[in-house]
Amino acid sequence: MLQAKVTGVDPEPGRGPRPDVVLAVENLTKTYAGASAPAVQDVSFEVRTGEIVALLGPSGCGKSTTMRIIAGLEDPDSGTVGLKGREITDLPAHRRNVGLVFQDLAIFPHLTVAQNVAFGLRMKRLGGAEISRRVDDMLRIVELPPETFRERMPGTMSGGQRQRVALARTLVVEPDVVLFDEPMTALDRRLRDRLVIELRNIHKRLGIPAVYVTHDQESAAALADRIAVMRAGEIIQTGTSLEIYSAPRDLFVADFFGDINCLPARVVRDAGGAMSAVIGDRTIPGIVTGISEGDALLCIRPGQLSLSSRPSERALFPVELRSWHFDAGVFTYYVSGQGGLTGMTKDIVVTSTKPAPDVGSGELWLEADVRDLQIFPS
Amino acid sequence: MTPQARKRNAPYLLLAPAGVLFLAIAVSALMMVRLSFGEKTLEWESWTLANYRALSEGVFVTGFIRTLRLAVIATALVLLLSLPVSLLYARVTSRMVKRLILFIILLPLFINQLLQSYGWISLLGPTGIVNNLLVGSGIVARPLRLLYTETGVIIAMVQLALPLAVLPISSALRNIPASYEEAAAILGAPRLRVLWEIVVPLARPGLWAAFLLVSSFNISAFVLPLLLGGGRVTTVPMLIREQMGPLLNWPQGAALAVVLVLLTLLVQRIAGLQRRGGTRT
Repeated sequence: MLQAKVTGVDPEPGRGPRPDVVLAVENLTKTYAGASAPAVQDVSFEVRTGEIVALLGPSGCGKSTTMRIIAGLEDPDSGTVGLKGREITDLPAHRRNVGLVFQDLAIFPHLTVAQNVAFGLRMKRLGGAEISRRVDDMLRIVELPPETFRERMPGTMSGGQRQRVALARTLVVEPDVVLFDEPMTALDRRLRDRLVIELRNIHKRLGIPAVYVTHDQESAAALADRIAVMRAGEIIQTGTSLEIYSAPRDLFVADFFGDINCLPARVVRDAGGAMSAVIGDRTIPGIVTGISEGDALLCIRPGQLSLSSRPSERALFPVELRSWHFDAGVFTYYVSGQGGLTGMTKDIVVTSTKPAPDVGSGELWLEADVRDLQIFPS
Repeated sequence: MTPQARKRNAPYLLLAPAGVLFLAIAVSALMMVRLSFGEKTLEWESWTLANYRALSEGVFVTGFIRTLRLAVIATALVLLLSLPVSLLYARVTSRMVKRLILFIILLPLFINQLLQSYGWISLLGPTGIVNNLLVGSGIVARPLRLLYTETGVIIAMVQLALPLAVLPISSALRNIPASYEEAAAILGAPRLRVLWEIVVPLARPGLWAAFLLVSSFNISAFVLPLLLGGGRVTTVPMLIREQMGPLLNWPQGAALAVVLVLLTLLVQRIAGLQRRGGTRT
């Protein structure tokens, strides 16, 4: 029996600051002048020592605004930001010891690589020799050998190299927390995968906790220890990638985390008072909790479905194969439901590492374990 | 001409109309140079250096020094004042406010210099608005002598030259992404540091263009010193006019003009060397 698990939002109210919490964002709210709805609505979350937390959501969900409030580039209407135990909500950006890697990198074009990386250290008034040493060390960590890159101008470097300069510049001042603003957006697939691995390595090495703001669920899952899914200014769900994938709080979250098939169904109460889901002409008892009678959606992942030529106790209903393709070890099948599955505009997607049975003109049945079915109100 | 050659040269044809105008100016400038070597009443036939030697006379030397002094002070003030104004204009997001600022800044260019001068006369006089405010609020005991002094002239020159500086500077500032300033702030730079380390260096092309425009404009100031100087502030352009007009000594006027232009180019060249030296710390 599957319950729609609510993982909930960190932190629990009423508790004092815990020693391992580095960044504590509490009840942030901000509405821009002239806007009809708040950009950020009562947002709270924590980042603990050594953790990477992702703020994940579509454009306009408030993740960038939240990040800018943490960095000190915007003021919230209400709420607080705490860093290493002290409240920084009213501190100007240049006194917060927060790091931020911008989406456009914001590398100063009129300074060399070394001067760029040294900038924050100069603002701290460190000595010339000390600055030089730290700059060289950091350049080596981000794999830009100082001998080659110290005196280079950013305009002569590739996008990937400039990204490492931005990283070096941000990390060399040892901020208490680092914010990443969609660093993967401009990169192609290969560079993105490489960068994810490099970021994880650097993060492990330096141990600086980070907040990773993105709309890309894949890189969030690859990089972050915990993910906070945002929509319309609110955090909908927080958890690990696996938790959210297995038990999404609502349809939006489920759909954001990979493909999902949703079949129209109805929730009915039978004579004995128990709730069942009715799909087509099939009634599935015992999978409904927390949802009242009425229209609903039965959802299941493509990988949790399978096809067979004979009905079994796992069979849901007969389907017809529309098309399929094979790519990198995975078969993807598009089937359409028969037998009373009205209201479906899209084909059902089934993925498998094994080929579907060859049925000719025979029947094809869609199979699943009913415990994998998730139900959401419509 | 082959079709390819015609295609290559076609863009240059677009220069033709402006080229004609430029040619006219160039020709008259060359004529002025020729004139400067002539003698009064025998302008085109004679050759002499007398006009240039005459420039060592007291009235001319004083005129050059005064002209340069006024221009340097006014240019420096304009550049200083235009930076915050340009910053404001570039960073303001509200379109209404932007238009309002632009209108106020450009206003001096719309109004005839003569009329503006009369406006300044009524503003800066001993019973003018400025002095009324200063005396009335108790900042000074007696009205300041602003009118018919160098100070008054400089004030008016600054106001007139401001739009010439604000336009190129704010254009350069608009090209600096806001994220650069934000990045500098997050790295620990307070506001002024951000301006000095990031904004000003990146706005340099705009600053240079502003300097060229404003310095040329101020060195050639004629109407403002004439009307607001009360006869006590004599600049080289006024001296040139004196030679060309009442004194009917065109060659002398021409010599003054040639030297003024050369001085302007020299001043700008010196400033240019300073610029290329850079301010890398």
